[in-house]
Amino acid sequence: MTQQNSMTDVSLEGNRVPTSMTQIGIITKYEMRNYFRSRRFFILLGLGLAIEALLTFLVYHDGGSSGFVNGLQFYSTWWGDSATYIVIFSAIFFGGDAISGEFQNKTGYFLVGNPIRRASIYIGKWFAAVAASLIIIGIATAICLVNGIYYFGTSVPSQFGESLIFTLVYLIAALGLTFMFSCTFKSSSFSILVSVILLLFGFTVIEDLLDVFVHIEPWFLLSYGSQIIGNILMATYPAHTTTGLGFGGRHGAPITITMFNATVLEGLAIMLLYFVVTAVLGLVLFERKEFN
Amino acid sequence: MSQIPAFSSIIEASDVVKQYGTVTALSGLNLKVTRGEIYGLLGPNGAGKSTLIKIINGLIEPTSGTVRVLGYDPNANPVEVKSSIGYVSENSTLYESLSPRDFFEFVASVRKIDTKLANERVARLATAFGLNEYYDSPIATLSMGTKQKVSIIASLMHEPPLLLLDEPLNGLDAKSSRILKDLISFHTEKNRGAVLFSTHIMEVAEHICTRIGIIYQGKIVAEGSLDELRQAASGRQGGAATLEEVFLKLTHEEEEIAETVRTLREAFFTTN
Repeated sequence: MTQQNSMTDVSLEGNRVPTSMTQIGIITKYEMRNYFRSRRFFILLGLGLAIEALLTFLVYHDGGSSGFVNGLQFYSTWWGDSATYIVIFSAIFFGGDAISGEFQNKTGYFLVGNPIRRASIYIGKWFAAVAASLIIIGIATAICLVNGIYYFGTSVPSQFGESLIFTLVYLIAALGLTFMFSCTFKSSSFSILVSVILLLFGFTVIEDLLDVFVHIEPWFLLSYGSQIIGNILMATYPAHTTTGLGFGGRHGAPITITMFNATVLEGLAIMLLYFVVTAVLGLVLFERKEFN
Repeated sequence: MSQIPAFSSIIEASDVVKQYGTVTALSGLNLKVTRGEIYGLLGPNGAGKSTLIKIINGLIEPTSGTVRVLGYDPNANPVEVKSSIGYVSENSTLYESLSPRDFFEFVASVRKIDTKLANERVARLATAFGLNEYYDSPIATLSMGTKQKVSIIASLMHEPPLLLLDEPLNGLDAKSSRILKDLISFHTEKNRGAVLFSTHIMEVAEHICTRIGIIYQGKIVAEGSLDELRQAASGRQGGAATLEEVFLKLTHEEEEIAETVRTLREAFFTTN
């Protein structure tokens, strides 16, 4: 307390509040309890299990290990393609309306009416979203690993471990972004819709347009940074490549497409920067938001 | 509760203005509530009652003016202020997936109430409000009145010096309403705390409030005990016997109502 009580000499009775860390822990605990009793967690869990079950069936149906040159290619096909979608869906399901839901459902009147710092609410909810997402990602990883070990033995390529770490970095960045949208709008459906559009289509479409028409390296797009999840699993890490498509351009100029590929360091930097910027912005927005 | 000097101010609001875009919800409102008072806030819909309560609780910031709760600015020291307030919101929704038990545990943990003490208090209040049979049911399955009871118990658990009750009787049955009214009275006995509550129910305000403020178009237009308000109203055309009559006179709604009723009568009951 920094302000001298000029009006009275009373103290604030009952003014005992947990530390910020304890507050964060309490919010995380109850948010997790809320997830485990809600349909969305089990819907996403079911979705994740369905994707992994389908992959298991398809690989088995196509002859198991015979379809792959080596273990690295197996993990690249299995994990590299599906990991980003699992992260995107987790970020949308657990972050898309984490804060806006408090406004739309009016539960925030109760929550913010308690002596909890808004930062503790934000961070606690964020941790809960990370924890719930990690359960989904953990199950997907386990299924992938069991298949990999079944077909190629216990010598799991080190790149898979790196890819897993990049996936987790992508998760915190994507959740930072969806939390920020969740603090921007007071409508759950609006914040979820914006998250879906950007993470599922928007970033990819912008990236493709930049590759084809402008030839600018899209270093400012989260999806560009997240490419390293799949790229690290390739036999040779891909570099920027320019492909000619003939002479159909203006005044007979050649048409080219440049495929940009972020290096590991660039990818990590982009994702971490996204997390830091969106986390700070989201927190500032939430601190300023009024429950009117 | 600790030793508290009598009649110290709990709420002081000076020249509070709140604007939502071009709409002015509060226009230079002044209010002082002292320890031991049950202050009833009466006003027509949209007069600014809920806005004032939200500003006092730090849910929204005033556009200008100052508010102090026990000497603290709710926006500069939100945690300190909220730890001293028990709040029942007019339109709060509780977490539907939790049970009342989970909910009270949550409140006890964020307010750092000793578990044993919290359990004892909740047990007493739950019994009084007839909540025991719903204790482990998901809040989603409870009736509106039962949810309101959960909200009321949560606001009383930490025995706060200030109770902010925004239409607390909404949905409550007669027995629970009576219990709440008695609890409000106990709360201010021996100047332990203060209560600020808004209500549309004139009889409640008339019977339990030590002071009543009539809020109209974002300002307190009259304030005092029921007798003082009667006197203030009798200065205007004719006397006023009940709080409802006082209220209608002071908010200039009596003439408007008479005109509306006359118009309706002409439209619906004179077609012979």
